[in-house]
Amino acid sequence: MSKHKLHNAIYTFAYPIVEGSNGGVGVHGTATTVTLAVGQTATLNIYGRLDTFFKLRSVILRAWDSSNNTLIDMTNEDSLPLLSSITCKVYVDGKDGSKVLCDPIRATDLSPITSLSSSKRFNYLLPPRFNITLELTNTGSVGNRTLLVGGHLMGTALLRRKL
Amino acid sequence: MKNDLVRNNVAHRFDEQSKRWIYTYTVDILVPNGGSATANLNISNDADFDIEEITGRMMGPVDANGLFLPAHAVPNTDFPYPASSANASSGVMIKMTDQGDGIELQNDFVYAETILAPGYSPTRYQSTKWPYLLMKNSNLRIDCRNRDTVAGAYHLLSMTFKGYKYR
Repeated sequence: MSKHKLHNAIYTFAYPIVEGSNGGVGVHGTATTVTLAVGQTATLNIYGRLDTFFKLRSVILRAWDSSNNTLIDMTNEDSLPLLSSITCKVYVDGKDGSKVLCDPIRATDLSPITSLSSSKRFNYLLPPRFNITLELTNTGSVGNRTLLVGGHLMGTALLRRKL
Repeated sequence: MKNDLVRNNVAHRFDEQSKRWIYTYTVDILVPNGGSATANLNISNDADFDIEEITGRMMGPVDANGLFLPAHAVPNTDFPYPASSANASSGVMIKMTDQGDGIELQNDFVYAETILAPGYSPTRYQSTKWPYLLMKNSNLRIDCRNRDTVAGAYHLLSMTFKGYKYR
């Protein structure tokens, strides 16, 4: 079927925003989970693969309350302010230089993690070996908690050798 | 005239369904704490399978039979209960690879709860759109890691792949 001709050239793909097996920010294809105390900002770089272009669709974030060692429970209204206290600014280093794709946006508005929010769509095509920088800030004051932020970049890979 | 329209519509639907019909595959994976597990989604030989979306949930800690263990049964566990300081911040992580075409669908392991709804308890409400075509007789390998570190317990990952079969 004609669909098959395309599927091994253009397909759904995810880049993790987690502690990679190689560890450390800046290692090809891996990134490190960011721990944020209240008021703290951290930047995180995610590097693209050599063999594919990448069309960034969305940034999905979740947080771990490392002060209490619990995953933030989205069913608990008391927990929601913790997640909405994380903001994320997205920079990309693409073919035509560096660009900011969004001002600091709350994690709850960025990710489809609550029943109310829908995923923020970026639809931005990046070349192989791209560099995406996430600037994460914990703007909250609830319980003065430290948050561990992770997630993934969702999008479409376009295989270089097939294009 | 009206009856003809209905008849044509029904005939069209039957014709369409003979080539493309809705289907769901499921995979259950028991992942030991501090360890890893691999499962395969095997596509049957009758038709290709076009994934539209993925859902799933994780349960942990569970025993070797996948039965949920209450907090008092594993007092030292650090997931999902607030307890020790061991590194259990992510529970289960997954990585999917299409064995048929040798295509990795992820660059590395991703927190399962950021892909799957309801995940843990639930951490996501909306299913993840993951359009991907798997050929018949192929398989999708799902590698899992469990970063909950307390020995003797497991996390149970139940994934559902919703989509269409094509003939």
